[in-house]
Amino acid sequence: MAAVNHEVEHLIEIRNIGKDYQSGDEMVPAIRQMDFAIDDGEFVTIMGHSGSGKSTLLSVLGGLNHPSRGKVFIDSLDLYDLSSEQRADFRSEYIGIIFQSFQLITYLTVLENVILPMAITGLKRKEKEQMAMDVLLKVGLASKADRLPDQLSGGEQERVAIARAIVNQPPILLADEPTGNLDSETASEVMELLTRLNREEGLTIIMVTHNPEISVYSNRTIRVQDGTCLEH
Amino acid sequence: MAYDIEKYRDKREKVLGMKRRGIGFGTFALLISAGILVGLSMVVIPKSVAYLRDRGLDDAIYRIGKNQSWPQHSIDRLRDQPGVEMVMMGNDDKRIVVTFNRTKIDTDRLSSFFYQEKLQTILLNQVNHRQRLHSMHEEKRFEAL
Repeated sequence: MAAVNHEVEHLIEIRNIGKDYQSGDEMVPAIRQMDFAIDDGEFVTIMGHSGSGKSTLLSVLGGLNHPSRGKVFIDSLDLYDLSSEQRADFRSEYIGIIFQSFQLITYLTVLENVILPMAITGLKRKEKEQMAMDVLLKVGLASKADRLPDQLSGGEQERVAIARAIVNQPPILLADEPTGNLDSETASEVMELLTRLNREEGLTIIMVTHNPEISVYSNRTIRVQDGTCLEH
Repeated sequence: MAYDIEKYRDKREKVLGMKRRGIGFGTFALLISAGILVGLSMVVIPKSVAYLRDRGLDDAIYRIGKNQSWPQHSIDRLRDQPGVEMVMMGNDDKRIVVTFNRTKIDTDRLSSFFYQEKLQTILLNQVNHRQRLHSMHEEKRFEAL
C-alpha cells in the first residue's frame, strides 16, 4: 500500500507539480509550479489563456501525463506512484472526461456510445444497458438512445459525452472546454446539467475554460498563467 | 464537503488490486496456453509412446506346408522365445504373423526354431510392424468405402 498516503486531507491534492516538455535542445515548462487542493463535491473552474498550462494540468489530474516533478494525490492515492496498470484502473474507477469535440463514435448509437466505457467492467449486457439508460435519463436523452450522434444537435452530443463520462459512476469529472463548440444558449443548458450533477450527485467537477461567463457556474476558480496558479 | 477517506474505499481497493474483478488477462492467457499444451500433449504423447514402443518391431509372415497345420504347442513355445512379442494366426489357418524385436531375434533364428519343431515353413514377407499396422488400417478404410 505504498501508493496510499493517509495524511491527505482533500480528495485531490496537487503538491508542487511541474511539467516540462522537450523542444529541440531546450526544456519548455508547461507547468512551472502549482500547488492546490480540491475537496470532494467541489465544482472548480481552471481558467487561463491558450498556452497557460490548463490543459496540461487537466491531463496530469487525469493520470494521463506524468509530471516532471511534484506529487498528485487523489483519494489518498499517489497517482504517479501507481503502476501503469493500476493507473489505467484508476482512470476507469475515478475519472470521467468530456472534451470540447465530444469524441463520440459516429457509427455507434447513443446507447452504444454510453455503454462503451463499461466494456471492461465484467457486467452483463443487460446491466450495462440499464445503467446506460439510467444516465441517459439523467441527461434527458433516454428517448434518443437509438439515434446516431450525427442525428443529434451539438448540445445533445455534448450531453451524450457527459452521460458516457459518468456512466461508470466516477467521483471526478474532468471537462476540457466543454462548451467551446456550442452557442451560448446551448452552452448554458450544458452548464446547468453539469451544475445539477455536481449539486445532486455530489460529482466533483474540474472544468477548463477560457470563457469567464462559463466560470460563474462553478464554486471556485483557479486562474493559471504561464504555468503557475495566480489565485485559487 | 470534507474529504472522507472511507467514501471511495471500494474503488481504491480495486485500483490497488485488493479486490479482484473477474479474470485477469495474465490468468486468461495462462489458462489458454495450458489448454493448448494439454491438447497437444494428448495428441503427441500417445504417438511418441507408441513410436518408442514399436520402433524396434518387425512382423514376419510365415506359411506352413500343404499337409500341415500350426500345432498349438509350437505356437505357445514360439511366444516364449526371447524377442518374440506377439504371434497371430492368419485368416486361413495356414499363415501366422510373428511380431518380434529385431534387436533380439531375427528371421534366421525363427526359421531355425520352426525347423527344430519339425515344421515346414516358408517366410512370405518381413515388414516393419508399424508399416503393416498402417497398411491394415488403410485396407480397412478402403473396404469401408
